[in-house]
Amino acid sequence: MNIQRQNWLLSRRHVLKGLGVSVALPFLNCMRPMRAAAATDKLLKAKRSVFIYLPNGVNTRDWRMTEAGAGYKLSKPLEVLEKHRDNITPISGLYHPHGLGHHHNCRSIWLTGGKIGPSEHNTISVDQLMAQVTAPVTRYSSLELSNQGGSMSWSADGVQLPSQSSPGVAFRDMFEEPRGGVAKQRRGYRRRGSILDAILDDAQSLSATLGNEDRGRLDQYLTSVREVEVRTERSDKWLDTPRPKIDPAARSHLNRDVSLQMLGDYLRTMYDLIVLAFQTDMTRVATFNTGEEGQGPAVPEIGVKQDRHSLSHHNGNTELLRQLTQSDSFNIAQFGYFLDRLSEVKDADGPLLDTTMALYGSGMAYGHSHGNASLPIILAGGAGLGLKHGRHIDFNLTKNFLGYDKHPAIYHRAVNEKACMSNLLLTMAQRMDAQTEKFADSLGTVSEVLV
Amino acid sequence: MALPSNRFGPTGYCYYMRGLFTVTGLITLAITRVCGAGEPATFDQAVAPFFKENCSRCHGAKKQKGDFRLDTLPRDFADDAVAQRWAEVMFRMNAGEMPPKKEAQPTPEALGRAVGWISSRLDEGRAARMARRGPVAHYRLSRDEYANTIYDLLGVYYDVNLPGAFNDDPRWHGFERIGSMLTLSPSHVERYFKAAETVLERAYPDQPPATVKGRSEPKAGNRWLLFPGLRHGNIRPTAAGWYRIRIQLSALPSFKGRMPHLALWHDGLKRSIIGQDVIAPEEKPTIVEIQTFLPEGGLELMNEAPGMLSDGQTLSQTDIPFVSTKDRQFIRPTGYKLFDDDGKPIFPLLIVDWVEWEGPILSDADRKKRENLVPAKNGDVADARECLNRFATRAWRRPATEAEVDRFMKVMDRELAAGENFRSAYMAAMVGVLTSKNFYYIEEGSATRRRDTVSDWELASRLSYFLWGSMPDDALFAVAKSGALHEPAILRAQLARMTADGRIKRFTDAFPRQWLQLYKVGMFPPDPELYPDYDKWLEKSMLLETVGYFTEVFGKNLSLREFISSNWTVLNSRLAMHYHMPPLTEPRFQRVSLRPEDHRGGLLTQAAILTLTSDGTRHRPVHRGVWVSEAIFGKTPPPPPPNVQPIEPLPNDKPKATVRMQLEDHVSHPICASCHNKIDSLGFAFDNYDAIGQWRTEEVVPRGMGANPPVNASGTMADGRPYDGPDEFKRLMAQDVDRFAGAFVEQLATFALRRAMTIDDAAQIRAIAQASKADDYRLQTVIENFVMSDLFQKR
Repeated sequence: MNIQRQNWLLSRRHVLKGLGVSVALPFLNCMRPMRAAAATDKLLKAKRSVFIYLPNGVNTRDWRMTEAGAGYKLSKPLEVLEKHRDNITPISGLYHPHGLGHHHNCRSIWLTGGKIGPSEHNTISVDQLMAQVTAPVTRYSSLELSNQGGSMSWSADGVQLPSQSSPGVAFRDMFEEPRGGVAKQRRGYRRRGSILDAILDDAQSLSATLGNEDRGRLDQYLTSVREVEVRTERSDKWLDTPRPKIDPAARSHLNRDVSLQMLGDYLRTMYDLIVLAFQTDMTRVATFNTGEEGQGPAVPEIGVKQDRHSLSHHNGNTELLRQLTQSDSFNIAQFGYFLDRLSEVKDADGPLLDTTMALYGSGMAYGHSHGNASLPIILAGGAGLGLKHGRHIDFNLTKNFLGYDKHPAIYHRAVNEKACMSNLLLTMAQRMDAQTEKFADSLGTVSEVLV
Repeated sequence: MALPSNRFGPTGYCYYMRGLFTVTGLITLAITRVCGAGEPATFDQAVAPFFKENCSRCHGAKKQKGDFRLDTLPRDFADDAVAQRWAEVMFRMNAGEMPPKKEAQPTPEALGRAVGWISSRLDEGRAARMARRGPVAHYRLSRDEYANTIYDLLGVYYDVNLPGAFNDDPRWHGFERIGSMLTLSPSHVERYFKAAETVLERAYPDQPPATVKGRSEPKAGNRWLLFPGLRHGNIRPTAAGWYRIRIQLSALPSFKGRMPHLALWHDGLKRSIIGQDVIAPEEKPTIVEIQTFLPEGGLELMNEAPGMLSDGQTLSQTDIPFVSTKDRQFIRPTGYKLFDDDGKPIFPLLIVDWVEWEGPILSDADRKKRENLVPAKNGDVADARECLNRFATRAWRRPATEAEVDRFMKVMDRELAAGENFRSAYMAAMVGVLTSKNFYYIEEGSATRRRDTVSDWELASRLSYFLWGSMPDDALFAVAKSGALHEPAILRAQLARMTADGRIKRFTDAFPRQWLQLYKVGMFPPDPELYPDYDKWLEKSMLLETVGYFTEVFGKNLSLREFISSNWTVLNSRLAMHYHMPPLTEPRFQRVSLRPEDHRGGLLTQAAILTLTSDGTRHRPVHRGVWVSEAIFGKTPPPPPPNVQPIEPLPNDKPKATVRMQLEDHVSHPICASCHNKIDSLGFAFDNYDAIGQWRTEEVVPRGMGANPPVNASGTMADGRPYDGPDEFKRLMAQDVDRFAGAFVEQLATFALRRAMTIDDAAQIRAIAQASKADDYRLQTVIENFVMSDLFQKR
């Protein structure tokens, strides 16, 4: 039995006796809460990030903007964002090198930059890297939403995190006190802690007899179980902090299921939920996958009846292309609503938009032939975190660029090979105080968006 | 992050290599030809000059085509990954793929010397590679295996597919149980906790739920009319569990012959959980009985045939009571027109008299599973210990040790100390047993002693998870305990017993789904504008056809050849309609004979396969070729290089062109052609089937000028034999059954052993296939030969 384990037992005994001793959590190699004191000052001021995914790329001919810099004109599907012009930066030319030629894998690596293959697992997503920083001060380390299944978040071990598709369930998970009251919950956590002790002892007894290189799966098991131990302890501690009271109007708005037949209502409700989670500091990191690559939702309310996957494989059909632009514009309009809400709602540091970086876009550009270069990307908010906006940044504008007439080749091959999307993810991670100089295959930061 | 262990799973090289061993006959020939005599040549003598002459220009220091460099390839043949890489090199040289045909070709002698050297090193490295395998291997249970094991252990249904229940299992080429893929994260552990608590609460509830009967029916003299999309009736389960539901109803097909689909709609999940087509005359209602597991939450009866409501319109429910279709009052001028002028339904209709349900029902067999695992008397610690020992021994599929039981008894002690009552404290220990790695991992090997063979306990689990997707039963445990399971006669007897058991259904369901990658069916739903006839029940029927077909081959113990080509299949009425075959009198799945003009038979032309290789709008010849290559020949073509130029949409002012015509234009580039020639010729054979698997002779092309072009489904096999159309293609494939048999054994072994097959398994795979030839590759013979082989019994 090692010292960490005794700490854990000790701490539980102390809390049982009501001494309220603060506990040093066992230190593990990944996903650790920051060492307390030094981190706390930085974390006093909330810094937040949210990542929103649009499946199947866009109608690139309507989306593209040919002018760069401050005087750029927003393209048709983006026009609705004109009022947020000073708070957004459309970026063209970014790509994930490992995404090229990998079809619909692009959603899985959008936030990881990872290489997925028969022998390669995905790697940590940037939101989870950020969550490592913010986790110690929020009740939930991150929030994963996804309307059709897969989340965009991947653990440090490259395992996809589960996600929630119903706004009602996500709302109840966050804001409703679980049944039975604090005492009963605490009893449950203690019981779980005790069981965790037993199964850890059990695994360690085997682990001790095996050499380092022979542990294989066992190490992963031990790490995961210990992490659950940390989480259980954290949940136990949070029991003493009551959940925020939500006013009845907001509650009835959010605590419900919304059909995808009403896509606008669905998206806005999810956006409202993220705003509330940020406002109440339940979490500071969120991802929202608005649709799966295979079946991105149709928009029945405006007469777009086909899913985005079918629309994106338009085969040049002008009617499908028109509907794809309609769908793009519709989705962007809902994102505009999100930015509206973030700028209206304030916490102690001012509008949430200033302390929230929002990244919107797709891992696909030209869906018809699975072109994953020059991705459609919009970065918004985060002025208080040192971001600067108001311009269209176009990484395609290099010597080699032969112009946007070279459609769709520019969506298949990076015009500017240095324009890795991981550069942008690294930039955002650093703004969130993640101590790293590199993220995935990043080559540097995107200084163009920094003050 | 840690890469998956090479020892137990797929490596990058396997990807290209997968299944190459099924054609290793070729390799052996070359080896025996040159290695018979003489001094063993050194690398510098045999290989270096060969590489310099034939390979280095494209795979050397200057250029690395396909990202592959030969001169720096390590020569540590004890390393799995290195050995795999060399095996790939050897395979490509032997198969004549490298150097490419357009390049100067080496002499057979030079080739033989180089191949001989590689082959000898591979053989020599074998023992070292085996020794490097870890002393203990852990394979996590897949979701389905977890559910099966829980059911067999405690008689509790735990629905692993409910939202939030379990994470998705990552797959490797369709297989869901590959050890290196089934990683673990904290969220898994948390979900195992939740599952264990739920399962034990259901197995040992404080208050056992009473079996309740309920009934729901319309007002006396009326019937419920359910047109497509409409729901009626309230089924209210009192607790999750097994239910018997009976429904009296009439069911009228539409005038076009489409049958109504009776489904149980779950209000909470917002989807139907079970359903079937029904047919019964209005005057002669039938009684349908459904037995199923129901989760918590209310249900309604639904007519889930697509039709009037599937266009997004809503229809206000009429309050006019329905009595009969003859009732003139019902046929209102303002309502939806339900009947044509002959009084025949325009839409398939259900007319319901009543629904009854009963549950939750606990069968005696399930009750018995739960006996003797919980102390009879509160406070009897000694009995608790014995019960826990029994429970752990069954749950972990091997005897629990004293020390292990102690550990979990301590959980109980701590709970008692915290003030919990005796029973609750004991339950905590049981939760511990089910959240321990010993339960949800299959563990093979021992930490203290390296061994090559599995123990009898491990063999029992291998067998039961292979055939039943679950833990061994008492009989198998008893044989394992006696230490005789590995004896051939006893093992054979157990195999026969298990094959005859009802649980074999889990194998005949899971294996074809994974082998044939059926999870892809419905992943890219067909475009409703292009394929208005596609619906969820059709999708499900497609899956059931393929699974049912496999089950029939297994049950009747037919030859593997039937997977390629046959004059029968397994259909329900929905599929008969889809295939434009004569209507069936009964809606259920049944074996039917095929006529030549049906153009069906075997797996390759089943709708499920043809759909999963399409993308929702178009059929994809390349995907179909890759699928044939993987599923039938067990060989995965390399993935396309990045940066390929896309196929551009056809301009409106050009003549219409099939996908094939566009593709052939596209792959005229030599770099693309080298791979595509091999892949595409396997896919073009199925151009007669559209994206949802319907037969056609011309391809509907939305854009371009002129008439739709005719389908061209001709081509040549890899060995040069020409074919014209899918039927000829299948005939030629069936002649290749030896090759297919090798690939099939490899698929079976991948499934059973939970790992990718390597160069070191090749010889045994070949031997199993060859041994099965004498019995015409009958499926159960192949399985028996596999189970009796070293491959199955060794670590």
